[in-house]
Amino acid sequence: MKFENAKKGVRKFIISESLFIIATILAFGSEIVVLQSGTPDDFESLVMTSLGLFFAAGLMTLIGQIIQLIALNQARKDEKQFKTALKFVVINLIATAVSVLTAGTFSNIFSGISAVAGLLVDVYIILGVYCVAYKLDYKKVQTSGKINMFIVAVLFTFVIFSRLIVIFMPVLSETLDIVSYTLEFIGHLALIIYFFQSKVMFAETTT
Amino acid sequence: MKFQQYVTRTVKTAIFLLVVMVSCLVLQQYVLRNTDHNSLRVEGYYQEPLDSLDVVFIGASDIYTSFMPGRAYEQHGFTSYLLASESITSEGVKTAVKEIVRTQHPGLIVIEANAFLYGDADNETNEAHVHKFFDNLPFSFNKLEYVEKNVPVDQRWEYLFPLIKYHGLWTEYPERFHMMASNLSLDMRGYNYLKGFRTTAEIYKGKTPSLNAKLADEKGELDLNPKLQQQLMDLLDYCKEQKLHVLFVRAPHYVTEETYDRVKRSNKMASIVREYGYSYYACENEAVKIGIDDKRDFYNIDHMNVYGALKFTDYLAEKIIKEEELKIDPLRTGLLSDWDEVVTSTNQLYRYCDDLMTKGDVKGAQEDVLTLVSLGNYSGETIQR
Repeated sequence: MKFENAKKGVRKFIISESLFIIATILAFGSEIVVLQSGTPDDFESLVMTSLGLFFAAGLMTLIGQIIQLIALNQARKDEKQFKTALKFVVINLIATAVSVLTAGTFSNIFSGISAVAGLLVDVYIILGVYCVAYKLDYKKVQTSGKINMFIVAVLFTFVIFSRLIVIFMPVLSETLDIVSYTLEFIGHLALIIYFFQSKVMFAETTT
Repeated sequence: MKFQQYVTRTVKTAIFLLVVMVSCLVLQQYVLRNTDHNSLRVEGYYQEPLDSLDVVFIGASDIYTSFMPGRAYEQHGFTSYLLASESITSEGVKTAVKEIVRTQHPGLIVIEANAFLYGDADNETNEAHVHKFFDNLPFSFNKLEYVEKNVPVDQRWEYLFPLIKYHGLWTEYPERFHMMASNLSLDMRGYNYLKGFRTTAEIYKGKTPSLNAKLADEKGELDLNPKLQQQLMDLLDYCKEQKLHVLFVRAPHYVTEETYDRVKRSNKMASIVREYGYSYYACENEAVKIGIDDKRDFYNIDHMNVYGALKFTDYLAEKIIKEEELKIDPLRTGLLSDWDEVVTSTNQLYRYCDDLMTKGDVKGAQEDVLTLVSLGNYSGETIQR
């Protein structure tokens, strides 16, 4: 079995994860700028800088998600877990759009759905690559898959708890965002290493 | 593959639990909820962007039927919101002030005096009045503090999760549908058109004569209920501690012999408030000066209709600008069109109510889908007095 589609998909995952990492760094930077206390004259330029970074982060995320969609569409031909991940990407995109276009509790509900769907995308991508590694009997990637799954579980738990904490202490919102971005950065880094290992796996096992 | 099975089973269980939680949240928020004008008003406050309000008004129906934020913005340029609830308790007023400190930083907080002027403290434990405000507050330490301090242990869960109390409301559909639609519409839109204002299109034809003409000379005082006085002093201490710019107001009423004691209690409250260094505008005593017409400007003895509300809004807004030296923050560009809509909607509402009253129809008018649809038939141009 060659898993050509999964191999091509993984190459695209590397690109999308790279964009997500850049987006996380930009979002992190945007948050840091918000926390700066400057003079009243600096305020407008700080706001513009923060908004600019946030917009750039959003753009990177959007492009990354499109590439991820294309990758999943390709990889699902070789492993059904990628098909499930694809469904959650679509749910994530719809939920994000509804959340942005509405307000109040309605928006918060869809924001929560979007966050959960985003994490489940990662879960099923990791699982998809794990399943391919299992079929190819490649232990290193299987082990790496389990580690990545643990990292996603930690992120998931943190996201849920931080959303609850912010309800009571909105003053911690920016600080929790920074911790969240840091964890996301670690998560994306671990994923990109996982995908590079998978790339090596495909190179070694399918030639 | 055990790992795959383990992950799939965990994910399915987690999704099931999340679906149950979200379903309960949707039911509690939109379907099985005692949605009324109080819900729309309080919830609308929390949708206001951070630090976008120059003034926040707190109080009961006395203030949300008398002050028109849209008119104040149009005539004087300051943004405001009515964080008010029907017969709000004194504890509710204190919690509202704390919520404002937590969520907005207005240049001025205006507190209508009604909650402190009852002859007894029965309103403090009136379950309906307490629920009307606290059901609509989001989770916060302030809400938890109130529940812990004032609510019996066996009732606490229904304050934290109102679905427990209102799960039986499904029997009241489809009559409740338009309020559910109003709630959803508010969430989708993200802002309130009337900023909490509500009225009834009616002209009160009281048989009992009004005593408003003699109030300007009334200096008599009557002691406040001891519990309510203590609440007032706790509130004043809190405001001092937080260095808040607070103003107390008593809105005009159709005062009769039966309700005259409230005027004297208002005078007493004015003395207490002024001792603390805060202003108290006894507008009830100045009803004649404001131009309030007893025969035309009320819809019942406690509330003004839009004719009275317009006059009172103009009077109070100008007084606030001049005497409180209100600092008006420039509005963010993205909010200018929202507030233009608020002005238009307020003027349309005035004309809608004027039309109803001219025809002799009696109807409540507030931020609900049915009223908002009706407003489309009226002009949003400035109301000329």
